Amino acid sequence: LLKLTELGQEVSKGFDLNDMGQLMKFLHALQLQAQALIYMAQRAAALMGEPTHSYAEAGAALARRGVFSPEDLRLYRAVVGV
Amino acid sequence: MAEILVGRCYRVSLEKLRQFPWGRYVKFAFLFGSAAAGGPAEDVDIAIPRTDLETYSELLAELALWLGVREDYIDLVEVGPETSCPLALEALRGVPLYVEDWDLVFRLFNICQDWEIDARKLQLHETLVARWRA
Repeated sequence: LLKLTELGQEVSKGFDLNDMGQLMKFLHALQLQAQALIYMAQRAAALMGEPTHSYAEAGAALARRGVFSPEDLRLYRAVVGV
Repeated sequence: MAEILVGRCYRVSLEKLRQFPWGRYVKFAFLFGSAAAGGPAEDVDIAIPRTDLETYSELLAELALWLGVREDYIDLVEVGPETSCPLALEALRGVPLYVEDWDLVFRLFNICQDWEIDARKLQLHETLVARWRA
């Protein structure tokens, strides 16, 4: 979470994506964020007793349980890539 | 595995399966299930990418004709990003009959392999069992 807060601060400072170092840094941070979101969705679905068999299913289970709004689900699916 | 006994009445040759003109219909085809293990099998399970209904129907009809078996004995299983990972992994670990686009196969396979690793790492099955017992 600290790293994600730091990312927010870094973005606020401004950035240049033509700088390979900065590009890689932000890509890595985005990847971490995506992974954290997916892990949380999977764990939350399991903790609610929802068996899921793919990344997409975890999002669908959370939407069914009212944890994800339709907009949350749309964003989650975009992150997962389905 | 030269021939597979299907539905106790048909013999299907792996060579003939490979020679089918898959490229007219799909970008990959994998034989899986008991037929891939050498049979005997209730039916022939073949994984293909997601396709439209017309292509699916035409492929099924042509394949049945090609193999000389009834359509009921062929199970074309579509594998795409929404397919459950245990099924996708089993299907794509089968025998490749035709692959035009390995990138597509690897994309589907790798995501599910990651899911499998994550499920272990996050102890999803253990969590579910504990939840159901509580």
